[in-house]
Amino acid sequence: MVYKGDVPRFLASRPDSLLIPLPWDVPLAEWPAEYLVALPRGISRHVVRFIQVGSSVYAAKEVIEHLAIHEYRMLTDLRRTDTPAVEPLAVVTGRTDDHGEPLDPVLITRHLEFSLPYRSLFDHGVRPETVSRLLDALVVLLVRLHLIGFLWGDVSLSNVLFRRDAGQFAAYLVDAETAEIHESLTNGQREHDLTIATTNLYGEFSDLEAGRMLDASLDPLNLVESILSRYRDLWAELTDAEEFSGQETYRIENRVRRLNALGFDVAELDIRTSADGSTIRIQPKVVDAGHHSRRLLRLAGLDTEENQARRLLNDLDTFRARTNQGHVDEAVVAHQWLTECFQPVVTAVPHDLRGKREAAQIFHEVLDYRWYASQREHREVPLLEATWGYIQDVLQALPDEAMEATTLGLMSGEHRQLANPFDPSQGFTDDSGPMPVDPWETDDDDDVPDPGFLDIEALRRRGR
Amino acid sequence: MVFQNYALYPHMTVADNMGFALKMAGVPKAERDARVLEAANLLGLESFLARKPKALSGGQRQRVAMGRAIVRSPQVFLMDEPLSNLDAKLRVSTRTQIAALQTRLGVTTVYVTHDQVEAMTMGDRVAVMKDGLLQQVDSPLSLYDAPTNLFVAGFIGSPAMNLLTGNVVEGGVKVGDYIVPVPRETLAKAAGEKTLVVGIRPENFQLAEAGIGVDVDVVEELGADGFVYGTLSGLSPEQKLAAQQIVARVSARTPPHRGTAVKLAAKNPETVHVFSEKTQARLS
Repeated sequence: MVYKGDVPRFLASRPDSLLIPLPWDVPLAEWPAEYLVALPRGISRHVVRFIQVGSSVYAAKEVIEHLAIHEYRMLTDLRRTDTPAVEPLAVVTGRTDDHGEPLDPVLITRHLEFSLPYRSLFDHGVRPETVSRLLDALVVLLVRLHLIGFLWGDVSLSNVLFRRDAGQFAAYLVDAETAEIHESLTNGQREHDLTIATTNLYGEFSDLEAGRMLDASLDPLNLVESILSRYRDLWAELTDAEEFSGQETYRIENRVRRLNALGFDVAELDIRTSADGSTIRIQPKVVDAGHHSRRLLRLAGLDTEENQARRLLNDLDTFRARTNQGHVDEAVVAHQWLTECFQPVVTAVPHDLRGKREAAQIFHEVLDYRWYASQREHREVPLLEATWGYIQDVLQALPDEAMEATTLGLMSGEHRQLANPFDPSQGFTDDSGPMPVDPWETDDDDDVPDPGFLDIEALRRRGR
Repeated sequence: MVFQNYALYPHMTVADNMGFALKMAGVPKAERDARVLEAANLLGLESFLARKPKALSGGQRQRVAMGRAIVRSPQVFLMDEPLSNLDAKLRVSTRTQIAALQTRLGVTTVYVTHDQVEAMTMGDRVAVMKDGLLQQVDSPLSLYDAPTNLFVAGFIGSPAMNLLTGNVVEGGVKVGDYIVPVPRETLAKAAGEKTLVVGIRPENFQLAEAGIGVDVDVVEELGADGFVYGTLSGLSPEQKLAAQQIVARVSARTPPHRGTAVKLAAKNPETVHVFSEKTQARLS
């Protein structure tokens, strides 16, 4: 057996043997198209490609070794704390090209199914309300990260993926290269992340504006300012102390309900009473995101986004009331609801349409469809009838969001073609024109001798 | 402090890529344009300002990112391995350009690099770190002429300083059969240590009547000078395999021949460095 150069090494918790035969001796930017999938994604400073491995799609990023391993570990930690982030699969090190020259390692993460990078959303035109929801999702993610002591260091739209979450969006962290995990974050550290966020997001919105992809009514500056205020409001609600008279103990319950409504559970609430009992001071110490999704998972075994869970739980409550089962154990009712409501809707969707939306999202959209249909027709439209109507009228026409590149379009607008279908950072084909002369990169650099070693005599002559 | 992401925005021109943070900060357009143009001049990017970043080379993209930082007139720049992903030829020219740029801007710049040539040629002061610990902060010449410990002595300079361990004897340190002269006050600082390390730079060696006996393995001629590579004389063949290499720079007019034995002594005894083997610290 003849190896070209050294043998690559794989750092992985659950190794995928299909990774081994990939062309690791070729720089990622030069991989043949047969290995690549053109999926929409954000811009990055490293070479990033989506690769086809068996029936899965992975994201591969070429980056220096200590950053690759650092990011692998950061992402692993996020998964462990149940924070929305892409799943790290492996780091491939020890790569060399066929001349034996070393190549940077590659970090491999699993492609997040049904995820929408902001560029693909904006490519199809985005309503101002949708932009607002995307920012909300980003703010929730940032607050969740800060609550667990995670300093991101590179907050940007390019570094998150969005998934539909009932009428909202859920944001997932994609890039943890600059991240640090601390016991908890200081205000200065959080402000640092916010400064980075505003600069990066301002740049990204300005870029969308320059590409005529941002609704004319939206101003990049207003958008980033609204991120700051949303972040501060949410952070205050989740962490601020609240003081009230000893007569108003109901305000403890109020605070917990408000946090639940925001999607957070209170794991630790610090309650202090003054010596004479006249005032009470409460402060949430530990809050966990996922109040509704945890409850739904416990009751029905469905793993969904937070707002989807909220919607499904509401439907479950309605089901319970309608079937007069207020006295029956909630878990028992949940099982009935699952088999009589949720599953019939999901199984009614033809197989070839299932790549368009996740099951929970479909259920949410069917509920919406049924509400509108019932209003229109002044009758209670049965769930299955609504499901067929939804499939016919809505689902058929939707683009596939699971990940098929063909239907998503190669990250191009209607009339613009990416210069490189695998790399949006390279811009579009229509920005051409002859290259100007670059005084820093001209070839007649005879005046720059490279001694290749430390020329101490030259240094002495310069008299430093 | 602002972290400078150097992903460039594909729909924005080079000028907008450089100036967007000023726009966010509410700097008036005329001033913004002036500052972007000034930075572009410094970076050789004037004729690229109206272009989109699409077809720019890696080095050009990096300069646009530097321009982003320059237009904000920071009090300090931190450049973390800025040349690490440029090819070897471009590294050398860009290094020179960045040094000139820094002189013109006059802004304190902390420049992180693994390349000692880069550090020594660009830095006014160089901080040498090892395993997260600061070893020495000094001018490049002081680092070279008075390394504070064995790590800095061996790290700075190429070919590296010869670091030879020998027994302390009257008047110096005995390496092989030869006593390298060391001043009495230096030896006195090594109270109780039986062995010390002497450091002699390759260019401070000369062929001599009396000196360290070295068997010549390789002679490399480079213009007016040559480098002699060898090992201590008097070793068995097995010992030779594991022996430390000794390097000396000699005049190419009278180079010794491969396979011969020569004697090497310090040209200038005052620039022989002496280190404690125990504490690794400089004694001379």
